[in-house]
Amino acid sequence: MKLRYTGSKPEADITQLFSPTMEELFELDEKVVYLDADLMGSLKTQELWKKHPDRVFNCGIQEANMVGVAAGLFLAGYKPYIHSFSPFATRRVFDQVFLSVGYAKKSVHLIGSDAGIMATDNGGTHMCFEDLALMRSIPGACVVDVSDAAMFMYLLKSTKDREGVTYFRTPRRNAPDIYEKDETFEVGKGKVLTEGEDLTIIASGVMTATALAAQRLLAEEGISARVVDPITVKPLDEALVLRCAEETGVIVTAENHNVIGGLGGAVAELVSENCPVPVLRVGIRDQYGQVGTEAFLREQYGLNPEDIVKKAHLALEKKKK
Amino acid sequence: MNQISKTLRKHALYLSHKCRDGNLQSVFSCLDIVWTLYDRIMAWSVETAQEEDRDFFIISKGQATLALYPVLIEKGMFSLEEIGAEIGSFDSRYCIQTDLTKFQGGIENNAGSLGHGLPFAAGIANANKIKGSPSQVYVLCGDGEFCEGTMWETCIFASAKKLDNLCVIIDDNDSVGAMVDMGSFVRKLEAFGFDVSEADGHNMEELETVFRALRGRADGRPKAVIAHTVRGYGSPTMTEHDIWFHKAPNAEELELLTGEVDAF
Repeated sequence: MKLRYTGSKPEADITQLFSPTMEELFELDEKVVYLDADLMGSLKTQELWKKHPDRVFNCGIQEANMVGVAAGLFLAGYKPYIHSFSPFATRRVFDQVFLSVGYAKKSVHLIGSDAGIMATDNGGTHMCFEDLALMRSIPGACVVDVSDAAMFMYLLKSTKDREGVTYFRTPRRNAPDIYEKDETFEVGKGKVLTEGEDLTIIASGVMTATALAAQRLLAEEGISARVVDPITVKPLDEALVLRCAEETGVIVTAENHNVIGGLGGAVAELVSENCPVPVLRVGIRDQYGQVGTEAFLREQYGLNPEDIVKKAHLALEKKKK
Repeated sequence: MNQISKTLRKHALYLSHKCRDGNLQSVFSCLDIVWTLYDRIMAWSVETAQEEDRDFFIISKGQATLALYPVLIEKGMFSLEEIGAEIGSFDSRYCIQTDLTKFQGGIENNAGSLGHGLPFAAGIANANKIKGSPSQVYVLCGDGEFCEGTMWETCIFASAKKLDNLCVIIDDNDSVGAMVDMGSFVRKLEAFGFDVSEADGHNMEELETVFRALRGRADGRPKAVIAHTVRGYGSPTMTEHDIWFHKAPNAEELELLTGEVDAF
C-alpha cells in the first residue's frame, strides 16, 4: 500500500489535530461530549472548552469520578469521550472502567495520552507499559495503539457509535506520519504496510514507524520482511495474523509496552493455538519506566530499528530449525 | 411500624431465605427511605420506567439490593412469586447486588463495588442539566461507603457543576463507626457546598417533608439527606446481633424474624 512514511517529523502533531477533530465530532453528532481530568492543556482542548462549555467538561483531577460521570452521561443519551494520561485513564480507574462502563454495558471512549516511553520526562509514574494488558482484559473492549495522527483522527470519528469500552493509547507529539491523509481504517482490520516473504513484523503504536525503518535495514541485507499494523490490538485481525504465520513461518512483534499482555501476547496467544510458529517479542522486558528523552528510552528498553533487526535475525535462525 | 414497612421487610426476609444470601441489617435500615422515595416523591411509575425524563433511583450501597426488590414488587414492577421462584438459581436475573444488564427498566445501575453509584448518578444529573430535563436523581449511599475516595471526588464535581437536581441520601446506620471515626457528615458535606438536611430514616412522614422541601430547590447546591437509621430496624434480633450483616435466614429463623417484624 501507499505510505506517507519518511521517518521524519509529522506534518502536524496530534496535539494540533485533536481539538479540531473533536469539534468535527460535535458537529457530526450533538450527543458527543468531551471530559478531561485537568489535562486540557495536554491535548490542547482549552479553546474547545471555552467555545463549547455545554459539551466539554473539566472534571478536575479526579479520574475515577470522571469515568462514573461518563457512564451516567451515556445512560442519559450522550456519547462521552474522556481523556487523561494513559496510566490515569486505565490503571488508576480500572475498577470504574471495568464495572461502571464495561460490565454495565455503557459506551465510553477513553483516550490515554503519552503512552509508554512517550511520557519521557514525566518518568516512571507516568510511563504506562501495562495499559494494553489491562484494557485487553475487559470483555468486548476495543483497544487501539495509535500509530500516527491520520489513523487516530479517522478512528476517533468512525468509532463514535461503537458499543462498550473503546480505548486509544496515543502519543501527543513526534509520531512520524505513516498513512496518507485519505486512508481509511476499520476496527479489527490490520494493514500490510510492506509485502515480504521471509518474516512478518507486527508492530503497533509508535513502534510501527520503527518497524518500517527496520524493514529497510533488513532489505539492505536481502531479507524480505512483511510489516503489519494490526490497527486494533483488540479485536486482533486474526485472519491476517494467521495468514502471515502460515506464509512467512515466523513473526516478530514490536510494541511500546510490556511484552506481557500487550500486542506480542495477543499474537502469541492466537498463533500458538492455531498455527504454531515462533513469535519473538520486541518490547519492554517486564520493567518499570524512567525519566528520559524518547531516544534515551528507546536505547534503554531496546526499541530501536536495530533491536527489531536483531530479533529478526534470531527469528530467521529459529525458522531454519 | 406501619403496615407497608412490615410488608417490605417480610418480602426481604423471604427473598433472602430463598436465595440463601443477603445483607439484611443493611436492607432493613434503608427500606423506609427507598419506599418513601418511590411512593411519595419520585416522578416514576411502572409505565414510565423507561421514559427519558423519569426520576432516577440509584442504589450505590449495592449490598442493600434486597431493599429495592420489595419496593418494586409493591409498586407493581415485579412479582414476589416471580422473584421468589428465580432468585438463588444460577441463571437468576435477581441477586443480592443489582444487575441492570439483565433488565429493561426498573433497575438503573449495577452495584457491588462500592463508590460507583454516586459518580454514575452525578453523570445522569449532569446530563439532565445539559438537556434541561426536569428529571431528578436520587442516590442511596451507605455511611461506610463514604470511606471510598470516589465519593468525595463526586462531591467536588457535583458542587462545582451546581447539580441541584442530585439528591444524595446517606443511610447513616453507623456502619462507619466500626471502621473509622468519620466525624460529622453534615459539616463535611456543607463544606463541599451541599444543601444538607437530616431526618429520621424510619419516619416516612419526616422523610417525605424533607424530600419535598428539597425537591426543585434550584439554588445551585446539590442536596444531601443524612437519614439516621438503625441496622436491622424492625427486628430486635437483627439489630442486636451483627451476624445479620451478612446472613440468610433458614426456615426456622425466617419464622422467628417474620414474627418479630409483625410484632414491631
